[in-house]
Amino acid sequence: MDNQTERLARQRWWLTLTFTLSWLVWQFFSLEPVQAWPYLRGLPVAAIALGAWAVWVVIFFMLFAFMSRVKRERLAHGALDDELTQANRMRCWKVGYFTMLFALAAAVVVAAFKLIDALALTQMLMMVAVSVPLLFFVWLERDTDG
Amino acid sequence: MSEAPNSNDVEKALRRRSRAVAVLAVVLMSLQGAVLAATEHVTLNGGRLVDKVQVGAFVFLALALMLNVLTGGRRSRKYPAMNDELVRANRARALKLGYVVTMLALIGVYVAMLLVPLDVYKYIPLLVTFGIVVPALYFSVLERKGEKGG
Amino acid sequence: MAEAALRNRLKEARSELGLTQAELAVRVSVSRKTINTVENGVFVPSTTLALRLAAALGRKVEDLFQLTE
Repeated sequence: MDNQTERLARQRWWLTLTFTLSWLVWQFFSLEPVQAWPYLRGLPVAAIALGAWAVWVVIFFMLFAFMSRVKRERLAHGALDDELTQANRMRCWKVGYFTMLFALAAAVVVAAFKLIDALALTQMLMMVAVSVPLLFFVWLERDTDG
Repeated sequence: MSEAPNSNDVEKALRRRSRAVAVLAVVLMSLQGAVLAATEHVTLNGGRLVDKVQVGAFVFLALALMLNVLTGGRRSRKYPAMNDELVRANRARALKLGYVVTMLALIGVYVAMLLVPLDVYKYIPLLVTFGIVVPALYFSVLERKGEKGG
Repeated sequence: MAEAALRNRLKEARSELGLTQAELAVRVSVSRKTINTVENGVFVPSTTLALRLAAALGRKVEDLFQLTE
C-alpha cells in the first residue's frame, strides 16, 4: 500500500510537471512577438507550438484519467491528498494570487514604456499566473528522502 | 514590562481590521470612477504619460493597501492573536478565491480580446480592483462569522 | 510573543516500535513525506493527525509533541 502511494504520488508529480511545461512551451511559441523574432528564423516555431499543444492535450487527458481513477477506486486511501499536500496546495494558491497581482502591476509599468501587443501581453499574464503556482506545487511535492 | 493584551483589546482590534478590510474594498471600487476617467484617453500606444502614471499609481496603491491589510500589518505584531491559525486559514481561503476569480476574469478578458479590441490600461485596473475586492470582502465575511457565537 | 515552537519525539517513538516512515504513514493514512516533514519539524500536524499518530504508536499526544517556550 505504501509503495502504491509513493508510486501514485510520483505519477502525479510527473504528470503535473509535463502538463505545465508543455503548456508553457505551447503558449510561448504561439505568442506573435515570439513568432516574429528574428533570432528564431529558421526554427519551425509553429510546428514546435503545435507539437507542444499535442503533448499538452495528451497529458491533460492522462491527468484527468489519473485523478478520476484515484478517486473512483479510492486508491491510496486518501494518503495522496493528505494534510501536507493540502497545505502545499494552499501555499500554491497564495503564490498564484500574489504572482498574478504583481504581474498585473508589472504589465502596467511595462506597457507604459514599451510597445507590446495587448493580446500578447494578456497571454503572457496568463502564462505567468498559471505556470508559477503549478511549478511551485511541483517543487513543494518533489521527492525528498528523509 | 508591558502587559499582556487582554482579550477585549484583541477582539476590538480584530473587529477594526474586519471593518477596515471592507472599507478598503469600498474605497477601491469608488476609485474606479477616477481611474476610468484617467484611462479615457490612454491606450497602449498613446495618451499622456501622466495618465499612465495615474493608472500605475492606482494599481500600486491597491497592492500596498491589500498587502498591509491582508498580511496582518503592524498591529498583528502587537497582538499576535490577530494572526493566529484561524486568521491564517481564513486568509488562505480568501486568497484562493481571489486567485480563482481573477484568473477567470483574465481568461474572460483574453477571450473578449479575440473578438473586440480591449486596451491594457482599461482592463488591468479593473482586474486588480476585482482581484483585491473579492478576497478582501470574503476575508471580512469569514472573520465576522467567527465573531458570532459564545 | 512569538508563536511557540513545537518539539516532537515522533522519530524516537517510531524507531522504538521498529517502524519505518512508510509503515507509520500507512497506519495513519498519510504519505511518507508527511511523516518525514513532521519528524523534521518542517510541517506541524493538525490535532487530528497528531491524535492518529499517537494512537498508531500507542502513546499519548503529549509524549510525542511538546511546546518549547
